[in-house]
Amino acid sequence: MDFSTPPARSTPPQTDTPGTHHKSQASERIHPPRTVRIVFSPRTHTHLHYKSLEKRIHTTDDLTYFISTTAYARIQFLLSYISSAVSAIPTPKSAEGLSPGVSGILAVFDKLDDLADAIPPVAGPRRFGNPAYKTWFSAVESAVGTLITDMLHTADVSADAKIELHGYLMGALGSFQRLDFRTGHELSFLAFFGGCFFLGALRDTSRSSNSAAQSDETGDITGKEILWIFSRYFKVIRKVVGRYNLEPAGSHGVWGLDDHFHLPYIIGAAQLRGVEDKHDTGKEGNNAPDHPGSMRPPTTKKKESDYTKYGMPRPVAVMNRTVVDDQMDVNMYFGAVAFIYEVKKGPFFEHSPVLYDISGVPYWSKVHTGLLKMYNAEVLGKFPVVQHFGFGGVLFPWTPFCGGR
Amino acid sequence: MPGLTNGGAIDLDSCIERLYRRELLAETVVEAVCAKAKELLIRESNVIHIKAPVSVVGDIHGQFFDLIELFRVGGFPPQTNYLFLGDYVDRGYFSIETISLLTCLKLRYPNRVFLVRGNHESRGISQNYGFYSECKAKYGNSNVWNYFTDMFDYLTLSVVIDDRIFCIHGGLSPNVHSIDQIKVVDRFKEIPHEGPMADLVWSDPDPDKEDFGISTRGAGYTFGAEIVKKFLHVNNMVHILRAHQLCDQGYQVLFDDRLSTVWSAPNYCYRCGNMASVLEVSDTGARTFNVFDAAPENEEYREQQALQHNTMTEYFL
Repeated sequence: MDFSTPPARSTPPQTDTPGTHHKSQASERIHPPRTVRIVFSPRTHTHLHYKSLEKRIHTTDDLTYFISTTAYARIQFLLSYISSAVSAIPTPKSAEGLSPGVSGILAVFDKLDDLADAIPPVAGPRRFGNPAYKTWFSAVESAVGTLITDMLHTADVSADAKIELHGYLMGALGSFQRLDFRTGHELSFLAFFGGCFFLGALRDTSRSSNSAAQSDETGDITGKEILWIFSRYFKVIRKVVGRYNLEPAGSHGVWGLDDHFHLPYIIGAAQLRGVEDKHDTGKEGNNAPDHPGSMRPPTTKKKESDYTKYGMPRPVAVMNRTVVDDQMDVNMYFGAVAFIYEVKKGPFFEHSPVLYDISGVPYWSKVHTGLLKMYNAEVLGKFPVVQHFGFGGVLFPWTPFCGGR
Repeated sequence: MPGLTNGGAIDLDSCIERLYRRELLAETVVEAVCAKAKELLIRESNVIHIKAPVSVVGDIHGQFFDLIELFRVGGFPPQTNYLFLGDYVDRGYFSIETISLLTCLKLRYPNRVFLVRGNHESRGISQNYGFYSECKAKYGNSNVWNYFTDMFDYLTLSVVIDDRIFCIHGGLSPNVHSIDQIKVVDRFKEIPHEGPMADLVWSDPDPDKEDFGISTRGAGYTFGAEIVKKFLHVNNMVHILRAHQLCDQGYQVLFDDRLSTVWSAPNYCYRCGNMASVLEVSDTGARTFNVFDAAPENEEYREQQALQHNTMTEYFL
């Protein structure tokens, strides 16, 4: 596993997270870890207590402290872990072949989806967002409690964890008050996923029972499963944003990466970064892409620039609508760009200059590290975003991170 | 240098002509324009009294093509008098072109064009929400951003039309009962985090409430029906006119026609599908919203303007 030397504060939050520190071998790079041990064993963490999420970031000093917390370290660990796990793996087209361990979390997305189908937007005067969104939000709030309980029960995880998971899930669906959706909500989903993952709530119990001799449970989640979980989430959120006309409040407009999302870009670049490593392509001089920043319009670019000779789309290919349509279902970066093409009107360089500039970066590995740095600065480092993040007692606590205990 | 006369004075007509063609002014010209604008704005009161007829414009957010569309709908200055309610910059691709043009129009027609300060006309906000990035991308440095944000400190906070309509960017403040209280605010500074000046540019009406409430924006307040009634009564006004919030129809009228929101950025962020409007206040005091859609696209022309922005270079080196 190549963790590309994460900075000190992004090391795994607990010492009991093996499976993430294999020696880096070329052949292993393209494979995600099959197994990761869960972080919270009920047997070793009896001193921890779950509690309702609480906002702790009120001042810029709090923001500085945030970086040194266990919560922050775990977020960094997740970004790192997910990026490695999805390396060189295409987004699956269906849940077929996935471990039954993830069926509990997938049931949550099905519920969000079904409720959105069942609750149509309402007519009548309004400023912008559709008030039916509030109906949907409330329906979800009362429905998902049982689903989380079921998921925890099936995975044999303490039901007490529900209070924190429920908070992160509801925080991931947009703002009930403001009828908007932004990267802070997406961050809350990362915490929901991470919480489930750390607790072992996504593991395949039938599989781990075979190795029950090894006292501790195993996480058992693959890159493919991670990709399916995130793609289900993004799909249902895009649907909700469109259906109920949620406002891109807090957006940086054309000067931000995207009005609502950042994670699909990181994950998608990580998927392709793996292919790049595998073939060691994209680095040969004669095939290097033309920078889209040249004054020539994108249509005059050479066709071969969009793909490497191994058939991998290059970063520059986001400018080509045909390639985007071809790739949107198998890669999250292209999936996110496809959504931009779908909802935005006007020339791409004008409504999305940041994505346009990134299309001039030659390698996915550079795109990926750049997006991670950008996430740390523009999402985790921005007060207006993280002031809404909730901290609990166990999963993402507001406690100093000591590099594992 | 285009935009400056031989004597070094600003040739406003030539600047305006260039800006209508969406050509950027040279850095030194922007510097001179902003200096001149400060001299003009410093003489304006925190509460400017003007006479109808006037057309009132809400948030523009750098949507330059749509501003031109607005002029086509409402008439080009100086044929039409304009009151702009702030949020000229951030989010859109053409904040520099927009604020350059509006500043030049203000200098050229000081009694026919009025510019109120919005919450985005501040260093703190415009550094984060696009204007700063745009200045760096288009000029290669942040000088122009400095000139404009220094000038923003001089923009007025409110306008009263015909002693009847009170106009601000955001809304009311629990610290402002009488309009006279606004007159004594020291406005020549960065917008503070709290207090009357912050509230005037940040607050929002809440049609479901009566009183003041906490705003989810993290600045300003929400204010309800009772607050609006009381404010109008105390100040002997009939209407509050503000911008600051996206409206699907381009405008929204609340509290039994006591308050209007006007929004002038159509298809906001290239994706919201909303209409925009400009509110015409006639000399009889009648209010008419002229609704307009996004400017027709002219992709071929726009495509030629593609340039490398280096928006996020530091992350991708």
